[in-house]
Amino acid sequence: MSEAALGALLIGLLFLCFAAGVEISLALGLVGLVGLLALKGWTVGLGVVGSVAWSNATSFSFVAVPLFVFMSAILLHSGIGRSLYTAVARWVGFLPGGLALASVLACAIFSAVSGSSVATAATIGLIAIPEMERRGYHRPFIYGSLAAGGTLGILIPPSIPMIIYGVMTETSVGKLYIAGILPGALLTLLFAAYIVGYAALWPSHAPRGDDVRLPLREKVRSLTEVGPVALLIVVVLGSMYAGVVTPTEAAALGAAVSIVLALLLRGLTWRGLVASFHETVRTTSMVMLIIIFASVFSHVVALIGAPKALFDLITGLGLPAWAVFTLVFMFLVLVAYALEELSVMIIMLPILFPLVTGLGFDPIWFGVVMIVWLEMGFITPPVGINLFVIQGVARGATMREIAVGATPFVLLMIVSVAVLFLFPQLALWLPQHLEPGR
Amino acid sequence: MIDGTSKAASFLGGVATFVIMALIAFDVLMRYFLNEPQLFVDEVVSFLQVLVVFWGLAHTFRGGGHIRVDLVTSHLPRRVRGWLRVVTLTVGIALLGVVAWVTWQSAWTAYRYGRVSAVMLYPIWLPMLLIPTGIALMGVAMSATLVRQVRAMVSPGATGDEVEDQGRAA
Amino acid sequence: PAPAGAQAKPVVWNLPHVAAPTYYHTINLNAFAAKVKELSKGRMEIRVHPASSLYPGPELIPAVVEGRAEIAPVLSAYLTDILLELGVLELPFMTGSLDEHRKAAEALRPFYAEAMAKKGLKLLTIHTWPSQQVFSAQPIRTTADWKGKKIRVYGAESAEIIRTLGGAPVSIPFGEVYTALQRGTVDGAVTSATNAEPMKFFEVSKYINYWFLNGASLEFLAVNQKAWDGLPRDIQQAVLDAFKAVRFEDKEWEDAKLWEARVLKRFPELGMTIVEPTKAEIEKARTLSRPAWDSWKKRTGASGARALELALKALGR
Ligand code: NA
Ligand code: NA
Repeated sequence: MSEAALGALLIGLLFLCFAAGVEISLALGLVGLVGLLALKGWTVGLGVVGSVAWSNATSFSFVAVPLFVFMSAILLHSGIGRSLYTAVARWVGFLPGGLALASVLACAIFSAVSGSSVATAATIGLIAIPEMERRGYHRPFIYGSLAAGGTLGILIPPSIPMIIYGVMTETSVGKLYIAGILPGALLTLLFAAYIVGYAALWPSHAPRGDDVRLPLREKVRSLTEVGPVALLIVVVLGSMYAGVVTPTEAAALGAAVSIVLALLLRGLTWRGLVASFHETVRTTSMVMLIIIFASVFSHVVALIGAPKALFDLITGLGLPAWAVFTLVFMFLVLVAYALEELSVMIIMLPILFPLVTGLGFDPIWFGVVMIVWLEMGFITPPVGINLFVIQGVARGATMREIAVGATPFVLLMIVSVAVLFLFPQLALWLPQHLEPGR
Repeated sequence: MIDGTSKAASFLGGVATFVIMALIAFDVLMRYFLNEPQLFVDEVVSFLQVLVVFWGLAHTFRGGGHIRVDLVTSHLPRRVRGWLRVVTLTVGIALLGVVAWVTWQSAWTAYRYGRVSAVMLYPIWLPMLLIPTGIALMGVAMSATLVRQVRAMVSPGATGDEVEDQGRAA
Repeated sequence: PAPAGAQAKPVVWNLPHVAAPTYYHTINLNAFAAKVKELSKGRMEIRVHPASSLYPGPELIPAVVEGRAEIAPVLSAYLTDILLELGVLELPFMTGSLDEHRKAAEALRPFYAEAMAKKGLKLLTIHTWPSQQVFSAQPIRTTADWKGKKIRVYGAESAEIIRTLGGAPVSIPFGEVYTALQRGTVDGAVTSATNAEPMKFFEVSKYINYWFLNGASLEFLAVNQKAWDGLPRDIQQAVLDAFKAVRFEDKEWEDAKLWEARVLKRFPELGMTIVEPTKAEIEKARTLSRPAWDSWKKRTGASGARALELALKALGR
């Protein structure tokens, strides 16, 4: 059998396994193993599986994954994240769609300590959704803004998917973090503009309360409620940019400070700690098993020589780089509607990364694009992780309502990818110019 | 019994995360304030990470934490879906069996050659052993589900559907 | 001999490596692989997998020893357990230049081959990475300058050297070294000049300090003996001839020098200062770093003692 045929067969087998409902991680492992046995025989084939498992599981940079999940869980269980929403609502509540606006802004602020979109959506959603429901906001509008706001958690640093991207492509996680700041701000503004515009056009979908304009004194006082989160932002981001810690270490420091804060504010119970333990392990095991088995699979892809063959094929077409990128991105958008995106990123990176950077696109820039794409995937049905989170937080919300509410935000994300394409400096300017400590 | 073991292993993974956090924080403080970086931390931390990842697998499985795609299966007739799950569970268990065996071989070889870590020269067979044990535990947990799934298919009056809500894409 | 025209399936070997696709090791190995294909008339194909795309660096040695790779480089940088005695010339301050290193390595060739044979490996070629130097934010001119400096290291030996010189060894993942240098998380990092160029360390460190912690860093291309024995005689010969035809070893040593000279010319243009400590200071550092030798001797036992004796003899000390 030729290697191209083997490659096609394996990809077919992979999708068959996905469709049959084999766990995504195990499907990757199975197909990877079959490929390795076919290509390299028992000894070498299995050898790769063993070494891949060991080297990925011991990769120090991945340590930030459990640490950020742990920190988020502690913040959730100790209620520290919630007061943030109340405070922000005091400031922007008077605007059209004020509570939804506050949700997105609170998500954006919380993103500066949280590395995950699930944690961001859940933490802010837990308090924001009931508030808006009580006020009589249109349900899809509520769920959409929370689902979308939560995804800012992975674009605004720190970010678990950026860590995964950085480790897999040997791109500096620190640079990726900085590169996410301006696009994150842009996306937050786009979300905010949409919310205000929507609420202005359909006032009945976002009724105003009577307590809208608070005196400045009241607003300033509310800032103290932001204190713990602000302190965490200083610890996590400040220590990193001051050069005290690496991005991985910042995660540990953030988790440690969260625990101390939670203890001081008496928000942490033993039950909460144990629950945080299990949540941390659950997410880490799931993600890392996908990473490990996807890595086995991508070894097969590399052995077949697929990335180079694809690159040669596509450059052979003579298309301009922008056309290739557009095709790649359209393909990704289709995928975003079908599969679980984080695993797709992990599976596709070994092929996509050499292709896209080979065409002359910047690795950091492409990292930011992939993160925005992930954000999009997280709020597109049927498999969008934030849709499930909102469904879990807002009892009684239907998948349809959430997906409908999220759709305008998907369009805004596509817009921001277009902006990133036309103005790559939006992502690249800060990492090039932010160089303290020299 | 299996649930208890899985849960205990997952709890240990949580404790390991806590220790990782404390060790790195300690290293940072020692390095920044006393100029005494703790060289051992990196390697101990990466070994502990193996525990977090692999010993958490079984409990994650029991809680339906390993993502699956139900795009197709949710449209299938109940009994077909149930039998398909028998197949996918069997396939998964077989894979885990092979992986447990090969990672056990790696650990055994590391023990025989006396392989050590790069910087601190810690023997690595011990953390390596965490992999096959964790994988095997997940295999056992899957086998228990397989037994329940087969029962649900063949015992009279049973639903014949996929058991529990495990592993739905979420 | 196979009848002409009867195209049997070619033997395919995978050669994993850590070097980037554009690095001279990869270029030379690709040239070698192409020559093998030509000389064997397409009956043998060696696939080079650069940039750790098949096995990560630390797994290369165990992989070829256990037969999980047919052919692989044994890098002195990754000698942590198996074949430890091969690292004798990379002991701190053992050699002071690529030429001195090569001369000693040639003299030790039978010793290397014998040590590898004991682990079921056949030694094919001995070549090198450029010398290991220190990048730093502040110049390190004297042994006193090492005191209290946080230096990023990647192995037991380099950690030991930094410690004996009074510095503080730090372990940071390779991908984060740039940011750590940039933001002053560490004061310096040990790596070769040519490795530092693609990683753009020159953007974030002002000094490269030529202490010659190692005059060079050897790499042995090894083949698993069982895999070798499985090859037909004429293909074995084709492999050996291919090395000669592309002047593999000479080319590698020349390139190490050439690449280093090239980046050294570039660094000042990029605003870096090259620090060359005096002979006396390096001598002082050599004396100070003796404990690193002692702990190596303890770990390697009798074979290490023999290696050391041969190395010192070859270097005329
Ligand atoms: Na974030
Ligand atoms: Na999706």
